[in-house]
Amino acid sequence: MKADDELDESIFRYVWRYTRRQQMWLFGVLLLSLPLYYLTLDLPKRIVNGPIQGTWPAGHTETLFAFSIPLPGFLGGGTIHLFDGIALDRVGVLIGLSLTFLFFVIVNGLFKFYLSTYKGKLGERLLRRLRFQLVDRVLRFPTGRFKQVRGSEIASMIKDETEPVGGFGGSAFADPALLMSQALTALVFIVMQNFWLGLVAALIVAVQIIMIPRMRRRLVVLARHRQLTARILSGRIGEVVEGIVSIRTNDTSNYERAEIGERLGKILKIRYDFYQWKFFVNFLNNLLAQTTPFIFYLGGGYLVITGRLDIGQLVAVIAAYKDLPSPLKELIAWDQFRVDVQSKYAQIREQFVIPDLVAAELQQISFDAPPRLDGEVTVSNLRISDDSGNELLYPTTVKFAPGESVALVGPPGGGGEYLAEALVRLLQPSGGRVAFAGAMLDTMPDAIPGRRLGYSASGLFLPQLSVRDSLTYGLKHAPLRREERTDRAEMLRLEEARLSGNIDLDIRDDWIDYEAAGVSGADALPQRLADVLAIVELRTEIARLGLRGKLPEMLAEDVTGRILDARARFRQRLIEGGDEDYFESFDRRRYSDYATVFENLVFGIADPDAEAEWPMADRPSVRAALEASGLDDKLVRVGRQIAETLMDIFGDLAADNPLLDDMDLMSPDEVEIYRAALRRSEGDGKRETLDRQAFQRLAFGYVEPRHRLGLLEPELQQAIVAARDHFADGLEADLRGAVSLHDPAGINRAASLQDNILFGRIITRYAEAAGRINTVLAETLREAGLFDVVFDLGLDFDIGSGAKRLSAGQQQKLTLARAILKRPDVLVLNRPLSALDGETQRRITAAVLNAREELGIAGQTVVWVLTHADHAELFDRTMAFRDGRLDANEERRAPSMAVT
Amino acid sequence: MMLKSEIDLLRAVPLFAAIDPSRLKLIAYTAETVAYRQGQVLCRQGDAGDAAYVLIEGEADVSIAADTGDFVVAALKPGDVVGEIAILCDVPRTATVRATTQLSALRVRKEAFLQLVKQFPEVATEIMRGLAERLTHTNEELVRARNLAVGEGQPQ
Repeated sequence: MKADDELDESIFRYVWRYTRRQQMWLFGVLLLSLPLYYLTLDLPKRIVNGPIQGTWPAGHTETLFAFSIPLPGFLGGGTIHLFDGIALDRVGVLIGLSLTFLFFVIVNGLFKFYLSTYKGKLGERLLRRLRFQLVDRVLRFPTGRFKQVRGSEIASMIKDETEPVGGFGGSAFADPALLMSQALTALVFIVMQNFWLGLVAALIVAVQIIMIPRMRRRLVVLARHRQLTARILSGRIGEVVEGIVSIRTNDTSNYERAEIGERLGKILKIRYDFYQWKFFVNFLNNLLAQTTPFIFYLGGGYLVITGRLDIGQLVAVIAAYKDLPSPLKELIAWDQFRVDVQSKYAQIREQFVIPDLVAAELQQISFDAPPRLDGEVTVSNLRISDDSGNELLYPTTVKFAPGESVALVGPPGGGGEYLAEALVRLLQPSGGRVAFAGAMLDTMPDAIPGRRLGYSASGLFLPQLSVRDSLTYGLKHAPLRREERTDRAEMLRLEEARLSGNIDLDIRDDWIDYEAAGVSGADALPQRLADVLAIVELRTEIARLGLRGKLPEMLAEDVTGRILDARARFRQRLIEGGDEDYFESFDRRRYSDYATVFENLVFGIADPDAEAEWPMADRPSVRAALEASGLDDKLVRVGRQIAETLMDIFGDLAADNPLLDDMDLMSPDEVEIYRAALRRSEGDGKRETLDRQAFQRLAFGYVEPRHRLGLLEPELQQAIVAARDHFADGLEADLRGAVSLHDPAGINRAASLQDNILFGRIITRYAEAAGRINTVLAETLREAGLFDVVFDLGLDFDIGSGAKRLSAGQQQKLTLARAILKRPDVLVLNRPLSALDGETQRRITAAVLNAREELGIAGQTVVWVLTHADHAELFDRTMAFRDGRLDANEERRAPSMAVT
Repeated sequence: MMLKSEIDLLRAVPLFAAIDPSRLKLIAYTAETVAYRQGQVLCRQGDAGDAAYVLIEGEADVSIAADTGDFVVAALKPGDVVGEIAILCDVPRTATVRATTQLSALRVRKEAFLQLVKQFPEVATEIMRGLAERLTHTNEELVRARNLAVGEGQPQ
């Protein structure tokens, strides 16, 4: 283990190990600041006693700032005069001393400022180091350990529980030393004034110092208890989030509520105990501190009265005692902090110091391409057992020839999957060994199996990345193409990383190993990504994501032109194919039947969330346009008719009737609002603005062919089209961001690529329209050469947290594609496509096996645990596992070794 | 075609005839109009059925596939309903319906219809009554057909 990696048992040793030099420096600066601090205390006395209150004969001057160093006797005695000083009169001395005081106040403040920032920085570095070390250890946990830990607990430990350690780092050594010296000085001073009184004070201090921390031990126990309970709470909350499907499908939300409530109750109880005890101890501590003056007054007063003590001495003792409680109190507080941090630290440490961590050397970064594992794979006497010692795989000996494709079949748990996991070192064998091309697997550094073996299984976790990054994740082993950065910021970054013992590799560099993917560089990569996605039948789905997703913020200039070109081509194709009546293009001068009234009014689309923020009908520029065009009343009337019809149809249904969801224009909980609005507006009485806007909102959502209420007369349509002019010259501030306009000669940023190319609406009344338009669109894309743009947009699609925006099948295809992309020497697949139907699985399996030639890795060995045993005919050899034993091992054809 | 006329159209369909007008409005509102060009298929034999169609305008052929090829068993005209069995139970389409002219129809989706039946049991009663009448009618025809067959068989 590297020395850099140690997590000492004692927090002091830990802090000392990593911040020794800084602590010394801190201490030195602190010492230097002390005399200055005392000077600021001393100077006021001199100012008062000297120029202000002192007797000062007229014309008398005093010499200030004389500075000399007395020499000790062995150097011959005498003094060295450095500065003879200046002679000043009374006002001069006052000014001189006051300025000196100001000077020291400033210097003192600066020292304080420096010390606190230094301590803060030191603490933060220590915190960064500790967190990094903990994450580093998580990365090196043995695989089996992950069965026992909960992700959110680990996260809570690394993020929250380490926090106080940082604060402690700055005050671990310097603070107690300083406070202790202050307290001792005061104590010594008291003892010097009067031995017995000093002894009493020392005794009470001793009681405080010994007893209070002892009583606080219970606090530590409670704090540890609280820490554990809180950690489990965060684990449980994580489980609730992860397990939401089970909760919803079993109606256990109240069970979870009760369970979490119980835990919160426990935490509250612990906290309550904690506070009670804490304030009790504080009370006791204060009482003890106050007893000392009581003894001074009583005992000291008695001694003075009986004449055994000088009154001046008593006053001096009491004055000196003033300085004692505050450092003492801080010292006790510091000790409390120490104990608390030590306990937290020990709790964390316990989870991260485990004997069988993966050795750091095995994960050492390697910039060189590792040796190829293209020889024979030998598995000899491999035995695998579970935690309780049950045999999962009985001793098995097999060989895989280079370039061979082997199917592992058998029931789930039959043994094949364990062999597969052992091949990629996910399982620690309990006996036997695996060797690739003569090299033992168990002693290889991660760089070799991690780069030369490929693995995919069902249910692999995908972090939230774009499709592109998810695919290239398997190629990011080291920053191979490093950018030269020599500016100050970079220097600072490196310096800080080193000071905190973090890794100094730069995440901004290009980490992608293009060579492993078989391409020359970044330019050729998208084509290769398209190839592997095509193999797993994911390419068109990714393209579709690009087509339907929102346009990115940044769009290359030529792409804009190509989109507009495609728009024209699409129109052309529609006309040529005789499909015009399936589609309705947006036209500034024509009402679009399949768009809503509002979309027709502004000639654009509205952000679906904007209405809830601020109703469109209430926005000033919409108001202005409606009033100027005379549409105001007309749309209220339309809305009213819609409301009446909906009331007529749905009005007598109970509020929870599921049929209400079919209303479309109105949500079920709005029914009562509209019923009331209708009642208010009966006849042609005065209508309130709110009611009017509510009716207009109904009218805004109306689409004649869909809702079929016969409300849009041609004149009304014309009036709406005419009102568009109010928005044509750009949007006012109240609509910006909420509405984006159609532009026949430009791109609508808020719309998807597909909507931008179509630039119109499908006439959904025709049963076949949607399918036909899709075909025409696909042809257009191909013709306009936009497919790569679409695909590129698809690659940028954010797959969501835990890849939840992709279906289970898509996730499996993606992880399989990732394994293929890095062109490993041995590809191990563990039921990688279980979420797909049998026929698709067969097609993709065949495609993966055949693609080896095309990807330039004809010699790749494939070991595939199959879901469907009958797909085994696609492979060179089939091995059947049952009850942990190799049952049958048959060759179909001659192994394709001959290919090389 | 607007909502009002669609309600009238639905009322003419035997299956819906007895349903209360206020409920019929609900069916009409949740239904949709669909259009087909000549030769396009409304439903295909063997497919799962998810909707019933009431012809608004245009004509269609109902055909059944046989070993000897498709043969037309019925011709549909406006006002006719097709596929109504499919919205009551899960059976594959028993015939193919193809538009012989430009055609438009009202499409009543199965889920919407079943939801209505679930919410208003009286609708279910009306439908049951309608079905029972048709069953009686079919039984009578069956008896008549059997008698006819027996009568034909006797001379041999």
